[in-house]
Amino acid sequence: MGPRRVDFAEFYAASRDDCLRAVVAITGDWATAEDVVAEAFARAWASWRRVGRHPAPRAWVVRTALNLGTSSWRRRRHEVPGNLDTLATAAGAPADVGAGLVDPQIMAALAALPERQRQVIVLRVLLDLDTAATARALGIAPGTVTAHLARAASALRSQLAPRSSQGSQ
Amino acid sequence: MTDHDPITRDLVAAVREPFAGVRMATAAEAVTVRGRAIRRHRRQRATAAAAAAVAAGALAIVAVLPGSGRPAPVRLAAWTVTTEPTGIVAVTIRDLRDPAGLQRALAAHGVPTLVRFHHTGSLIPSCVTSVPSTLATIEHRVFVQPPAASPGRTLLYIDPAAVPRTYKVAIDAARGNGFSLGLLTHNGHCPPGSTPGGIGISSTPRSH
Repeated sequence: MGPRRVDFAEFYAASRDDCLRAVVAITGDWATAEDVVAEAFARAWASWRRVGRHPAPRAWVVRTALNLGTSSWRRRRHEVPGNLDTLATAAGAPADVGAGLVDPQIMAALAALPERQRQVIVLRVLLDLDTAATARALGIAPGTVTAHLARAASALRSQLAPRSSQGSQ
Repeated sequence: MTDHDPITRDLVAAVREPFAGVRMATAAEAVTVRGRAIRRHRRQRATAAAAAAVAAGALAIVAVLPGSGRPAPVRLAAWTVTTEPTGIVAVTIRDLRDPAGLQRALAAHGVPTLVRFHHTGSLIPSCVTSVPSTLATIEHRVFVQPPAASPGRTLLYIDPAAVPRTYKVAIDAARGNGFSLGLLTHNGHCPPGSTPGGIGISSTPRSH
Protein backbone atom coordinates (compact mmCIF):
# COMPACT_ATOMS: atom_id res chain seq x y z
CA MET A 1 0.00 0.00 0.00
CA GLY A 2 2.76 2.44 0.94
CA PRO A 3 4.85 2.39 -2.24
CA ARG A 4 1.74 2.52 -4.41
CA ARG A 5 0.51 5.64 -2.68
CA VAL A 6 3.90 7.29 -2.99
CA ASP A 7 3.92 6.55 -6.70
CA PHE A 8 0.53 8.15 -7.14
CA ALA A 9 1.48 11.12 -4.99
CA GLU A 10 4.55 11.72 -7.14
CA PHE A 11 2.49 11.38 -10.27
CA TYR A 12 -0.13 13.77 -8.97
CA ALA A 13 2.42 16.35 -7.89
CA ALA A 14 4.21 16.19 -11.23
CA SER A 15 1.16 16.05 -13.49
CA ARG A 16 -1.77 17.86 -11.97
CA ASP A 17 -1.00 21.32 -13.34
CA ASP A 18 -0.31 20.06 -16.86
CA CYS A 19 -3.49 17.98 -16.87
CA LEU A 20 -5.57 20.94 -15.70
CA ARG A 21 -3.96 23.17 -18.33
CA ALA A 22 -4.71 20.62 -21.02
CA VAL A 23 -8.36 20.32 -20.04
CA VAL A 24 -8.76 24.09 -19.79
CA ALA A 25 -7.09 24.52 -23.18
CA ILE A 26 -9.27 21.90 -24.83
CA THR A 27 -12.60 22.82 -23.27
CA GLY A 28 -12.17 26.49 -22.37
CA ASP A 29 -14.39 25.62 -19.42
CA TRP A 30 -12.94 27.17 -16.29
CA ALA A 31 -15.96 26.47 -14.14
CA THR A 32 -15.71 22.70 -14.15
CA ALA A 33 -12.19 21.94 -15.38
CA GLU A 34 -10.67 21.54 -11.92
CA ASP A 35 -13.62 19.44 -10.74
CA VAL A 36 -13.40 16.97 -13.59
CA VAL A 37 -9.61 16.78 -13.46
CA ALA A 38 -9.73 16.12 -9.71
CA GLU A 39 -12.35 13.43 -10.28
CA ALA A 40 -10.22 11.90 -13.03
CA PHE A 41 -7.20 11.82 -10.71
CA ALA A 42 -9.36 10.21 -8.02
CA ARG A 43 -10.36 7.52 -10.50
CA ALA A 44 -6.71 7.10 -11.42
CA TRP A 45 -5.95 6.60 -7.73
CA ALA A 46 -8.75 4.07 -7.42
CA SER A 47 -7.33 2.12 -10.38
CA TRP A 48 -3.69 2.99 -9.89
CA ARG A 49 -2.53 -0.59 -10.27
CA ARG A 50 -3.73 -0.40 -13.88
CA VAL A 51 -3.38 3.31 -14.63
CA GLY A 52 0.12 3.41 -13.14
CA ARG A 53 1.22 0.99 -15.85
CA HIS A 54 -0.47 2.95 -18.62
CA PRO A 55 2.04 4.14 -21.23
CA ALA A 56 0.83 7.70 -20.77
CA PRO A 57 -1.05 8.05 -17.47
CA ARG A 58 -1.38 11.80 -17.90
CA ALA A 59 -3.19 11.22 -21.18
CA TRP A 60 -5.44 8.75 -19.35
CA VAL A 61 -6.31 11.41 -16.79
CA VAL A 62 -7.04 14.05 -19.42
CA ARG A 63 -9.09 11.63 -21.50
CA THR A 64 -11.09 10.64 -18.41
CA ALA A 65 -11.60 14.26 -17.41
CA LEU A 66 -12.86 15.12 -20.89
CA ASN A 67 -15.26 12.19 -20.79
CA LEU A 68 -16.52 13.31 -17.39
CA GLY A 69 -17.01 16.79 -18.75
CA THR A 70 -19.53 15.51 -21.23
CA SER A 71 -21.35 13.39 -18.70
CA SER A 72 -25.02 13.64 -18.00
CA TRP A 73 -24.44 15.53 -14.77
CA ARG A 74 -23.01 18.51 -16.55
CA ARG A 75 -26.01 18.60 -18.83
CA ARG A 76 -28.25 18.48 -15.77
CA ARG A 77 -26.17 21.07 -14.00
CA HIS A 78 -26.69 23.57 -16.74
CA GLU A 79 -30.41 22.88 -16.72
CA VAL A 80 -30.72 23.98 -13.08
CA PRO A 81 -28.63 27.09 -12.81
CA GLY A 82 -30.12 28.58 -9.63
CA ASN A 83 -29.04 26.68 -6.58
CA LEU A 84 -26.27 24.84 -8.33
CA ASP A 85 -24.62 28.07 -9.35
CA THR A 86 -24.80 29.15 -5.74
CA LEU A 87 -23.22 25.88 -4.71
CA ALA A 88 -20.51 26.10 -7.30
CA THR A 89 -19.66 29.61 -6.24
CA ALA A 90 -19.68 28.65 -2.61
CA ALA A 91 -17.38 25.76 -3.40
CA GLY A 92 -14.91 28.08 -5.05
CA ALA A 93 -15.70 27.33 -8.66
CA PRO A 94 -17.53 30.30 -10.12
CA ALA A 95 -18.01 30.29 -13.84
CA ASP A 96 -15.25 32.79 -14.56
CA VAL A 97 -12.72 31.53 -12.06
CA GLY A 98 -9.24 31.64 -13.52
CA ALA A 99 -10.46 33.29 -16.67
CA GLY A 100 -7.93 36.08 -16.24
CA LEU A 101 -5.00 33.72 -15.78
CA VAL A 102 -4.50 32.96 -19.44
CA ASP A 103 -4.04 35.39 -22.27
CA PRO A 104 -7.43 35.54 -24.00
CA GLN A 105 -5.68 35.53 -27.38
CA ILE A 106 -4.31 32.03 -26.97
CA MET A 107 -7.66 30.84 -25.63
CA ALA A 108 -9.39 32.35 -28.65
CA ALA A 109 -6.84 30.86 -31.01
CA LEU A 110 -7.30 27.40 -29.51
CA ALA A 111 -11.07 27.76 -29.47
CA ALA A 112 -11.02 28.63 -33.16
CA LEU A 113 -9.42 25.28 -34.02
CA PRO A 114 -11.58 22.29 -34.87
CA GLU A 115 -11.95 20.11 -31.78
CA ARG A 116 -9.68 17.30 -32.94
CA GLN A 117 -6.92 19.68 -33.97
CA ARG A 118 -7.19 21.37 -30.60
CA GLN A 119 -6.95 18.05 -28.78
CA VAL A 120 -3.94 17.00 -30.82
CA ILE A 121 -1.95 20.16 -30.33
CA VAL A 122 -2.76 20.37 -26.63
CA LEU A 123 -1.71 16.79 -25.98
CA ARG A 124 1.45 17.30 -28.00
CA VAL A 125 2.42 20.65 -26.52
CA LEU A 126 1.01 20.82 -23.01
CA LEU A 127 1.37 17.13 -22.14
CA ASP A 128 4.46 16.65 -24.30
CA LEU A 129 3.14 13.40 -25.77
CA ASP A 130 4.71 12.05 -28.94
CA THR A 131 2.69 11.21 -32.01
CA ALA A 132 2.15 7.57 -31.08
CA ALA A 133 0.98 8.37 -27.54
CA THR A 134 -1.30 11.12 -28.82
CA ALA A 135 -2.78 8.72 -31.34
CA ARG A 136 -3.40 6.12 -28.62
CA ALA A 137 -4.94 8.69 -26.29
CA LEU A 138 -7.35 9.93 -28.93
CA GLY A 139 -8.01 6.58 -30.57
CA ILE A 140 -6.90 7.75 -34.00
CA ALA A 141 -4.14 6.77 -36.40
CA PRO A 142 -0.67 8.32 -36.04
CA GLY A 143 -0.96 9.66 -39.59
CA THR A 144 -4.15 11.44 -38.62
CA VAL A 145 -2.37 13.00 -35.65
CA THR A 146 0.36 14.26 -37.96
CA ALA A 147 -2.16 15.76 -40.35
CA HIS A 148 -4.16 17.46 -37.58
CA LEU A 149 -0.95 18.71 -36.00
CA ALA A 150 0.26 20.34 -39.19
CA ARG A 151 -3.05 22.12 -39.70
CA ALA A 152 -3.32 23.17 -36.06
CA ALA A 153 0.26 24.48 -35.95
CA SER A 154 -0.26 26.44 -39.13
CA ALA A 155 -3.53 27.93 -37.86
CA LEU A 156 -2.04 28.85 -34.50
CA ARG A 157 0.96 30.51 -36.10
CA SER A 158 -1.26 32.66 -38.24
CA GLN A 159 -3.47 33.48 -35.26
CA LEU A 160 -0.63 34.29 -32.91
CA ALA A 161 1.70 36.06 -35.33
CA PRO A 162 -0.01 39.46 -35.03
CA ARG A 163 0.37 39.16 -31.29
CA SER A 164 4.14 38.80 -31.61
CA SER A 165 4.39 41.85 -33.83
CA GLN A 166 2.27 43.89 -31.47
CA GLY A 167 4.47 42.89 -28.57
CA SER A 168 7.62 44.01 -30.36
CA GLN A 169 6.32 47.40 -31.26
CA MET B 1 9.00 16.95 -29.01
CA THR B 2 10.70 13.73 -29.90
CA ASP B 3 9.71 13.29 -33.53
CA HIS B 4 9.86 15.49 -36.58
CA ASP B 5 6.77 17.60 -36.62
CA PRO B 6 5.62 21.14 -37.25
CA ILE B 7 5.85 22.06 -33.59
CA THR B 8 8.73 24.44 -33.21
CA ARG B 9 10.13 25.83 -30.02
CA ASP B 10 8.52 29.19 -30.58
CA LEU B 11 5.12 27.59 -31.03
CA VAL B 12 5.61 25.49 -27.91
CA ALA B 13 6.49 28.62 -25.98
CA ALA B 14 3.56 30.53 -27.45
CA VAL B 15 1.13 27.86 -26.30
CA ARG B 16 2.73 26.84 -23.00
CA GLU B 17 3.69 30.12 -21.48
CA PRO B 18 0.19 31.61 -21.27
CA PHE B 19 -0.88 28.61 -19.19
CA ALA B 20 1.96 28.88 -16.68
CA GLY B 21 -0.32 30.50 -14.12
CA VAL B 22 -2.92 27.72 -14.27
CA ARG B 23 -2.40 25.55 -11.22
CA MET B 24 -4.44 22.78 -9.69
CA ALA B 25 -5.56 23.83 -6.22
CA THR B 26 -7.04 20.49 -5.17
CA ALA B 27 -4.91 18.87 -2.47
CA ALA B 28 -3.60 15.35 -3.02
CA GLU B 29 -5.37 14.27 0.17
CA ALA B 30 -8.75 15.32 -1.24
CA VAL B 31 -8.08 13.26 -4.35
CA THR B 32 -7.16 10.15 -2.38
CA VAL B 33 -10.20 10.51 -0.12
CA ARG B 34 -12.37 10.65 -3.20
CA GLY B 35 -10.43 7.74 -4.72
CA ARG B 36 -11.16 5.61 -1.65
CA ALA B 37 -14.85 6.42 -1.98
CA ILE B 38 -14.76 5.36 -5.63
CA ARG B 39 -13.14 2.05 -4.76
CA ARG B 40 -15.64 1.48 -1.98
CA HIS B 41 -18.52 2.13 -4.38
CA ARG B 42 -16.97 -0.21 -6.91
CA ARG B 43 -16.79 -2.96 -4.31
CA GLN B 44 -20.38 -2.27 -3.33
CA ARG B 45 -21.44 -2.42 -6.95
CA ALA B 46 -19.50 -5.65 -7.46
CA THR B 47 -21.13 -7.14 -4.37
CA ALA B 48 -24.55 -5.99 -5.51
CA ALA B 49 -23.93 -7.35 -8.99
CA ALA B 50 -22.84 -10.68 -7.56
CA ALA B 51 -25.91 -10.77 -5.34
CA ALA B 52 -28.06 -9.83 -8.31
CA ALA B 53 -26.50 -12.61 -10.37
CA VAL B 54 -27.19 -15.13 -7.60
CA ALA B 55 -30.74 -13.83 -7.26
CA ALA B 56 -31.26 -13.94 -11.01
CA GLY B 57 -29.95 -17.48 -11.09
CA ALA B 58 -32.28 -18.49 -8.30
CA LEU B 59 -35.19 -16.84 -10.04
CA ALA B 60 -34.30 -18.58 -13.28
CA ILE B 61 -34.38 -21.92 -11.51
CA VAL B 62 -37.72 -21.05 -9.96
CA ALA B 63 -39.01 -19.94 -13.34
CA VAL B 64 -38.57 -23.36 -14.89
CA LEU B 65 -40.42 -25.06 -12.06
CA PRO B 66 -44.07 -25.85 -12.75
CA GLY B 67 -46.43 -23.21 -11.48
CA SER B 68 -43.73 -20.61 -10.87
CA GLY B 69 -44.49 -17.00 -11.62
CA ARG B 70 -42.59 -14.62 -13.82
CA PRO B 71 -39.38 -13.48 -12.10
CA ALA B 72 -39.35 -9.87 -11.02
CA PRO B 73 -36.61 -7.71 -12.50
CA VAL B 74 -33.57 -7.32 -10.26
CA ARG B 75 -32.82 -3.70 -9.46
CA LEU B 76 -29.90 -2.13 -7.67
CA ALA B 77 -30.69 0.15 -4.77
CA ALA B 78 -31.99 3.52 -5.94
CA TRP B 79 -29.59 5.25 -3.58
CA THR B 80 -26.90 4.51 -1.01
CA VAL B 81 -25.95 6.53 2.05
CA THR B 82 -22.63 5.94 3.78
CA THR B 83 -20.70 7.81 6.43
CA GLU B 84 -17.03 8.12 5.62
CA PRO B 85 -14.35 7.84 8.30
CA THR B 86 -14.04 11.62 8.16
CA GLY B 87 -17.71 11.99 9.17
CA ILE B 88 -18.73 13.14 5.72
CA VAL B 89 -21.92 11.51 4.49
CA ALA B 90 -21.69 10.29 0.90
CA VAL B 91 -24.93 9.91 -1.02
CA THR B 92 -25.05 7.98 -4.27
CA ILE B 93 -28.27 8.45 -6.19
CA ARG B 94 -28.86 6.03 -9.04
CA ASP B 95 -32.57 6.40 -9.49
CA LEU B 96 -35.12 8.93 -8.30
CA ARG B 97 -37.16 6.52 -6.20
CA ASP B 98 -38.26 6.38 -2.57
CA PRO B 99 -37.48 9.95 -1.44
CA ALA B 100 -39.01 9.28 1.99
CA GLY B 101 -36.67 6.33 2.48
CA LEU B 102 -33.67 8.44 1.48
CA GLN B 103 -34.82 11.15 3.86
CA ARG B 104 -35.01 8.62 6.71
CA ALA B 105 -31.62 7.14 5.83
CA LEU B 106 -30.00 10.56 5.79
CA ALA B 107 -31.59 11.40 9.13
CA ALA B 108 -30.15 8.17 10.53
CA HIS B 109 -26.73 9.37 9.34
CA GLY B 110 -27.22 12.70 11.11
CA VAL B 111 -28.37 14.79 8.18
CA PRO B 112 -31.79 16.42 8.67
CA THR B 113 -33.17 16.45 5.16
CA LEU B 114 -36.08 17.26 2.97
CA VAL B 115 -35.96 15.06 -0.13
CA ARG B 116 -38.32 15.44 -3.02
CA PHE B 117 -38.24 13.67 -6.35
CA HIS B 118 -40.42 14.50 -9.32
CA HIS B 119 -42.12 17.31 -7.50
CA THR B 120 -43.90 19.85 -9.65
CA GLY B 121 -44.15 22.75 -7.25
CA SER B 122 -41.66 25.29 -6.04
CA LEU B 123 -38.75 24.01 -4.01
CA ILE B 124 -39.19 26.77 -1.49
CA PRO B 125 -42.79 27.43 -0.43
CA SER B 126 -43.72 30.53 1.47
CA CYS B 127 -43.38 29.09 4.95
CA VAL B 128 -39.71 28.20 4.69
CA THR B 129 -36.65 30.23 3.81
CA SER B 130 -33.41 29.27 2.16
CA VAL B 131 -30.13 30.14 3.74
CA PRO B 132 -29.50 33.89 3.35
CA SER B 133 -26.85 34.94 0.91
CA THR B 134 -24.87 36.47 3.74
CA LEU B 135 -24.42 32.96 5.10
CA ALA B 136 -23.64 31.33 1.76
CA THR B 137 -20.42 29.95 3.17
CA ILE B 138 -22.56 27.64 5.29
CA GLU B 139 -23.61 25.86 2.11
CA HIS B 140 -19.97 25.61 1.17
CA ARG B 141 -19.28 23.79 4.43
CA VAL B 142 -22.38 21.58 4.24
CA PHE B 143 -21.91 20.50 0.62
CA VAL B 144 -18.28 19.56 0.92
CA GLN B 145 -17.71 19.72 -2.81
CA PRO B 146 -19.91 20.31 -5.83
CA PRO B 147 -21.99 17.31 -6.81
CA ALA B 148 -20.18 14.93 -9.10
CA ALA B 149 -21.66 12.38 -11.39
CA SER B 150 -20.90 9.67 -13.81
CA PRO B 151 -23.47 8.20 -16.16
CA GLY B 152 -26.21 6.59 -14.15
CA ARG B 153 -25.42 8.02 -10.74
CA THR B 154 -24.94 11.24 -8.85
CA LEU B 155 -22.73 11.72 -5.82
CA LEU B 156 -23.27 14.24 -3.06
CA TYR B 157 -21.00 14.84 -0.09
CA ILE B 158 -22.59 16.37 2.97
CA ASP B 159 -21.02 17.35 6.28
CA PRO B 160 -23.71 16.77 8.94
CA ALA B 161 -21.75 18.74 11.52
CA ALA B 162 -21.97 21.85 9.35
CA VAL B 163 -25.76 21.89 9.04
CA PRO B 164 -27.05 24.71 11.26
CA ARG B 165 -29.34 23.50 14.04
CA THR B 166 -32.56 24.99 12.68
CA TYR B 167 -31.91 24.07 9.05
CA LYS B 168 -32.54 21.07 6.88
CA VAL B 169 -30.75 20.01 3.75
CA ALA B 170 -33.09 20.20 0.78
CA ILE B 171 -32.60 17.81 -2.12
CA ASP B 172 -35.03 18.32 -4.95
CA ALA B 173 -34.71 16.40 -8.18
CA ALA B 174 -36.70 15.50 -11.22
CA ARG B 175 -35.68 13.33 -14.12
CA GLY B 176 -34.36 15.54 -16.89
CA ASN B 177 -34.29 18.64 -14.71
CA GLY B 178 -31.30 17.92 -12.54
CA PHE B 179 -30.85 18.52 -8.83
CA SER B 180 -31.40 21.51 -6.65
CA LEU B 181 -29.62 21.56 -3.32
CA GLY B 182 -29.87 24.01 -0.50
CA LEU B 183 -30.59 24.66 3.15
CA LEU B 184 -34.08 25.47 4.35
CA THR B 185 -35.52 26.67 7.63
CA HIS B 186 -38.87 27.90 8.94
CA ASN B 187 -39.64 31.57 8.65
CA GLY B 188 -42.52 31.49 11.11
CA HIS B 189 -45.22 31.79 8.48
CA CYS B 190 -46.21 28.15 8.21
CA PRO B 191 -49.91 27.48 8.86
CA PRO B 192 -50.58 25.67 12.14
CA GLY B 193 -50.28 21.93 11.79
CA SER B 194 -48.58 22.10 8.42
CA THR B 195 -45.12 21.24 9.66
CA PRO B 196 -45.24 17.95 11.49
CA GLY B 197 -41.77 16.67 12.23
CA GLY B 198 -39.90 19.70 11.01
CA ILE B 199 -40.07 21.60 7.76
CA GLY B 200 -43.08 19.85 6.47
CA ILE B 201 -43.85 20.93 2.96
CA SER B 202 -47.04 19.36 1.84
CA SER B 203 -46.52 17.97 -1.59
CA THR B 204 -47.90 15.32 -3.82
CA PRO B 205 -45.18 13.62 -5.81
CA ARG B 206 -46.02 13.21 -9.44
CA SER B 207 -46.39 9.56 -10.32
CA HIS B 208 -44.24 8.15 -13.11
